[in-house]
Amino acid sequence: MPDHSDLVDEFDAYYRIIDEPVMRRIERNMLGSDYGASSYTTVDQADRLLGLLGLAPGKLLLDYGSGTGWPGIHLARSSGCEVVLIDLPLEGLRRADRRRQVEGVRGGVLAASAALLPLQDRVFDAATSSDVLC
Amino acid sequence: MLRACNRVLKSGAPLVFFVVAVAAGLAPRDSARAIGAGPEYVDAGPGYPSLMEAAGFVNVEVIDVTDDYAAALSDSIQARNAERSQLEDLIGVDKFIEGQTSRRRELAAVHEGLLRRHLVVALRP
Repeated sequence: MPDHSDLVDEFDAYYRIIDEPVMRRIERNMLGSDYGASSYTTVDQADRLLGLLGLAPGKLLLDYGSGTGWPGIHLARSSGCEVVLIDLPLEGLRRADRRRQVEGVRGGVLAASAALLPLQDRVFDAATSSDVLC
Repeated sequence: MLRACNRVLKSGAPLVFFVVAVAAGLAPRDSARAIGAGPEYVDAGPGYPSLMEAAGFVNVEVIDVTDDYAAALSDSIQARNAERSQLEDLIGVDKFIEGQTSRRRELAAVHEGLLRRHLVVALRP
């Protein structure tokens, strides 16, 4: 498996400054979101995902390479489904879990490589990611 | 990663994702330029849908969303320029210049047709 430790460190450094007001203003201007997103997914594109993923209450969504939870938490909150957020940078996952709880979204976070996904077989109703190395 | 996704999804479940990728059919030199200009995670693999089908997915659809990618990059550059002094205080002058130079290079590569962004939709059979 490739070593992405430099990239993980880079994302962690980015996530440590995303709560600064200037970073939030830039994200709102760029994407319309306020999660500390590190992808190019706009609010309109996230809403497009809602229909394509067939999400609804009782369904379980996997967001791999989730960063700070954009758009996985938004999708779960909008649809009423549960979400599992998976990524390697711990700073992003901490923020994602706090945001998940603030939004009242059921689910959790897991620090793991998306290449391995240490999860049971055939448990998710849908999966998504934004700008993650495949 | 795609095979792992296939394994954890229920039968009939969708996998839908955005990905930045090197444009198909580029000469080796242009491909190298695209990789150099793109984000660290840019996909330079064999492309979709063959990659998806090899991972066990069906009904693969690849939708081009490059125009939105270019718009987001342009908005990012403009928003950062508008916040320049505060960003320089936060991350330093050198990091600000380095980041904006990188974003401009990436946007230029998009405009030259070297980088694309796709929305990939597929089903687990």
